[in-house]
Amino acid sequence: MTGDHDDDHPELALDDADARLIAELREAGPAAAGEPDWGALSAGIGQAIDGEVRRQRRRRALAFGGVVLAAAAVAALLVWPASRRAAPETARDPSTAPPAQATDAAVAPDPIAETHEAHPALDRGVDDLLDGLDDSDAEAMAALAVPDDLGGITLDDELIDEAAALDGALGEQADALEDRLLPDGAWIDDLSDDDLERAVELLEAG
Amino acid sequence: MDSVLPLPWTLVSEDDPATDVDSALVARARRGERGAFDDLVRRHQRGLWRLVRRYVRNDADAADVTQQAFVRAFRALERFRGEASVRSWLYRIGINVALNHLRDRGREVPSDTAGDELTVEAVAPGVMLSAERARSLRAAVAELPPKQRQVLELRVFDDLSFREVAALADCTENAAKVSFHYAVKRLREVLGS
Repeated sequence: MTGDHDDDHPELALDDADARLIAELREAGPAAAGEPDWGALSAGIGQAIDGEVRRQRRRRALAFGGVVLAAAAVAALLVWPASRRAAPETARDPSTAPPAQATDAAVAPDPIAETHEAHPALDRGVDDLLDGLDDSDAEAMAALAVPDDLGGITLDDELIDEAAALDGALGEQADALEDRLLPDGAWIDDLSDDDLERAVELLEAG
Repeated sequence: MDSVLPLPWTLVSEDDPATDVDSALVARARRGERGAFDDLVRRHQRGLWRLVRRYVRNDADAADVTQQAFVRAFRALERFRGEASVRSWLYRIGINVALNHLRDRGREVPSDTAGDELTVEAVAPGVMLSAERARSLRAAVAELPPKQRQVLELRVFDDLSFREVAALADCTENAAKVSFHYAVKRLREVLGS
């Protein structure tokens, strides 16, 4: 019982008079008189602790529910834009779309849908713009229509026409070149196999 | 010439097995054993009540403050790092709750907490204090400087080790010993003993 190392402080040693005074202080100190019923006090403390335990459980349950809700909200935010992008393709499906719209789609392919695969960034931009639009906003819808007017439909057709014309011109040039290299060579097709073999031997020997 | 007696601070040791018991109870309570905290309450409710009683000066308020202190300790179990003893940790919480209680009631923090606690009703066998002597002790303790008075009370009335006293009085262990020494000497001078 020397945990306080009194030997380290001999100058603080107490004599008999000090000890008697401390004894008097101890005896005159807080006494049993007026002390509460300890059993009742511990029972009251136990009930308070039980209440605290219940509060802690409720707080943990609320916190867990909050985390679950937050995770669900984040998952919904991640999934929702993808479903929004998939929605137009579903609408163009003849098996799910109304007949009139399916017919319209078959007759006039949606130019915006054509650009989806080629321009995913543009796709997302258009989706974001659509998300922020109100159907009644005529001006915004008109602004949205601008890309259609300037879209690649006319330009693509012109390019196709130009490509077809170029292809035709190249075909004619190729035929003329072949005629110059092998003028009137149809007679070769009329030769027999033996004649062809002799011709080959003569060519190889010559 | 007076003989040198064992110092009073040797009565309570840091190696006291009670410290290990308290630590084990706290560990079990932290693992969710509800009964372990009940045992902790039963071990320390009396000492904690006596401590806060010196602050609030009212038996009923002392019981309320004691209950609040244990609830706060229960909430803070996970934050108890074991750097101080469980008892001094509990007592620190009790002192804080008592001071908050006094502030909430708009009362001043008592500057002479020891005075009201000195009573002639508690008389140990073989020691009979006169009323006059008790009043003299009360007055002498009340006149002590705050730090000396606090150290004396914690040491004498609460039977705390000097390490625990130092933790509660926000001083070093050696400073607590010195304060206690000077408090006793001063009491002797005042009382003429």
